[in-house]
Amino acid sequence: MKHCDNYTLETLSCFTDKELPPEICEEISSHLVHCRECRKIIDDYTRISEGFRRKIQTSADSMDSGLLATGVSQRIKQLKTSRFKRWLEFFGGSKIVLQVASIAVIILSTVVYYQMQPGPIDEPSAIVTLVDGNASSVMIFETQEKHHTIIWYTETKVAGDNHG
Amino acid sequence: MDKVLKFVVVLSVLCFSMISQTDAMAAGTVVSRVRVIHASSGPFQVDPRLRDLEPELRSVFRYTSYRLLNEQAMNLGQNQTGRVSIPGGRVLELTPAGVVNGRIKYRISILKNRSRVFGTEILLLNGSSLTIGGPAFQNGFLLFNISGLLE
Repeated sequence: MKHCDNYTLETLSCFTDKELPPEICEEISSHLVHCRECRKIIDDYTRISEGFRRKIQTSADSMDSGLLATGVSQRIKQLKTSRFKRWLEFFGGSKIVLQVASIAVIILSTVVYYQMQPGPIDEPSAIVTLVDGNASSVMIFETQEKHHTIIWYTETKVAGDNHG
Repeated sequence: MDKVLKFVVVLSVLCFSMISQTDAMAAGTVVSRVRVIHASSGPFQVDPRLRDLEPELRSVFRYTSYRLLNEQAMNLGQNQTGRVSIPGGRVLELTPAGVVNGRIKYRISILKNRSRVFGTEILLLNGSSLTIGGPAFQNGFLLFNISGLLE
């Protein structure tokens, strides 16, 4: 394209797109009054820009934003469902089996958790399974409140035993 | 049938992993603590370190004084014996011998002049304690509070 040497095509394109500082825009505007070649270029650029803008506007207007939103949400839902389906398929595709398995896991976890905890206080702290030795008597108590186990034994007196 | 089979397999794997986890824990060491206490009917006195045990002892005994003579903590492996010297030439031997129904199995012996005067086997709740008493000592009696915690 033939044009004067005052401004490059790039500068003229930027002028069309209003991307230049105001003082340069003013300078080019003054130049356009006298330069027919540059004016022609600017006219061409303006037509192209407007045509492009019109095309985009037409496409956007023809698009139903509600439909687009529905489509996107449906696609997200499909992706989520397919992941869930893969899990479900592992359990034979039955939701009930999955629910039962989840409940079983919760029960098992609870049982294991309570097994690992220090014992509850509604049973004796210790169960005596065997007593032997030389004790003359043995008594086993359990306190009422905390079920603390107490074993009391009486030592058999041995000859020469003088300090208890 | 296939569904049921899969469900049973998954459940079995879960059960096995959880049970083996508790077994692994049971195979670890047992933090054992022995407190030697002198109980007597002297002037009212309770060692502050026995505050946790005092209400239990008071609900059974009529002693007015509880003094902590000795306290010893031991990290014992299965079938490893810990020994605590107690007054009157006595020795208390403590051996964790496994875990039964979540309780720590302990073999406890009290020796006097190398002779076994008292022996017992108990199943102690994890994290709990029991008290053994009886030997007369200095106008009172000796109590041994034994606690255990699976590690």
